[in-house]
Amino acid sequence: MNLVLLLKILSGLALGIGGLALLQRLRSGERRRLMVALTFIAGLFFLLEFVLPPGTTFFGLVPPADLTRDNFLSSWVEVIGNVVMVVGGFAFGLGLLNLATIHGRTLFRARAGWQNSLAFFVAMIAMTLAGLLKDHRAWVTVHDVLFQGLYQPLGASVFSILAFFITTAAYRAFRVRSGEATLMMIAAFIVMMAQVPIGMMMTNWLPTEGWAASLRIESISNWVLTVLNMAALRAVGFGIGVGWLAMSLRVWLSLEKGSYFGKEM
Amino acid sequence: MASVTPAEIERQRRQSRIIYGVLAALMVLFLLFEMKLPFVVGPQALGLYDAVGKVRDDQLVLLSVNWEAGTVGESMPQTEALIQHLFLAKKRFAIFGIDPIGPGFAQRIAERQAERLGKTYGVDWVNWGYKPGQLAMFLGLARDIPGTIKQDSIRKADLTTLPVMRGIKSARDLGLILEVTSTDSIEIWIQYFHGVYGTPVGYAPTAVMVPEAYPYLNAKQLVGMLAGIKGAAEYADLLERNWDVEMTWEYPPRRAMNAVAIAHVLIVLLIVLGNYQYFTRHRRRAERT
Repeated sequence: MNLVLLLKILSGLALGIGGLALLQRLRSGERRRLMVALTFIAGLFFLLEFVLPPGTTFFGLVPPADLTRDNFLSSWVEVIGNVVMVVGGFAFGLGLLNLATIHGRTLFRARAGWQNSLAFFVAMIAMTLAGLLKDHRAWVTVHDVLFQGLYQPLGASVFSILAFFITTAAYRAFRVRSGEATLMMIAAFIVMMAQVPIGMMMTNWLPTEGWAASLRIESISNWVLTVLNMAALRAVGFGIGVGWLAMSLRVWLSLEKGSYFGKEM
Repeated sequence: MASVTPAEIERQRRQSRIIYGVLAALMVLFLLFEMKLPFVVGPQALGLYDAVGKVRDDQLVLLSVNWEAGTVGESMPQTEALIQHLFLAKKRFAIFGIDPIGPGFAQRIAERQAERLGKTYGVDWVNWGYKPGQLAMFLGLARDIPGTIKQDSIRKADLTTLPVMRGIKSARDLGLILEVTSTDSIEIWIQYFHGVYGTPVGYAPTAVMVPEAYPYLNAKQLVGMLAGIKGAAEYADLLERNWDVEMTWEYPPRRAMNAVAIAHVLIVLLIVLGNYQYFTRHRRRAERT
């Protein structure tokens, strides 16, 4: 890491911590007003950057870098993106600090489950070191053992446990108690069996072309997914979209109430 | 609500253990021994295969890899199938990810396949590495690729100095975007790349995410899709049929497909059995009262 980059990181860190300390010193009302103003300006920037046509200048004073595709705000998109990433970095650091505090307390007070907290610290320190030093020859093996030998199979194992739960859940919970449940079961049967070669074997005797091909299980499954499923998903997607728009407006205009918005934490 | 007796809980536990045991045994058996089962390649996999073939020589394919160890069973064969096709079809490509783990996995696959197929890093492919998935980054990427990515992640070389990046400046120079993912990351490519620049987008999600992709496929916003391990197996089939080169796999998709097949059959049988037991018990109770 070169010295300039290190200095940049340190000054950014100092500036960030200074800013947070200053924010803490403000009175509750002032702090809220500041956050409302910043949220509105940030939202307005992205909205204007998106809707203003290419070539738009700031009263003729600030011309865009490329008149055919940019407006006067476009050159700031990357800068603001970097600022967002730095703020995100602080959130990540806070999360790590929070985890370390909780697990550290459990470990030093020898509370129930302290072994898990110890495992957390060992895993975190080992993975951080291996990740940072992986370019050094001596650490390559350590990194490979931890990442490919431990992290990768552990991740895959946790996810694959789902298969066992799904199988037992299918046996216990999937009951044909009503007409809707029956329809769901028929659809599930068709889609599930059409996904796999054993299912396709059931209608493999039908021709692959002509009207009879549409009776093959994979054709019926494709119809269920591209017609029935798609119509339902479009409806859900439309609802989510409208809700999202309303939610974005509420956040942008600071109308949202609750622990993270109106109330003091 | 009727309370569950300890005997009932014990019976359920016993049943679960039997189901777990049967499922594990069947999966292991089908993963160990490869069986040739009939297979039909769907229109989605075919669409993606054709889209790769249509990429012009002066264009670059962006292989966005956003999956982690949890979905390695599905996402790795998908990534491997696409990388093998890109190498065989002589399409230049760049690995990229908004997930820090994904590009590393893809790089490992690409290095292995490049060595086997005689491809050169920096000429035939490049790894742009990981970039945090902020909207500003995507907007910047669409307008100015070398300015946003700056350097590759292996050699730390200036992107403009690599032959693979010759003539590649913005989203207009991308012939295809391939998103292999286990996260909800497809919309950004559709909105800001396909929507604005018309760049074709292909999708390779995990099986559980497949139903959500159909509206995009229907609207032709996606050129094709590899639906989980089934999609990877279909693509492997297409590659084997169309290329006179032996394909190699870290996780053979056909074998995994057969294991999934038997799991699906078991689930269907268990649903039938569960319903049979439910109705028999229901009838017996009705007869008693």
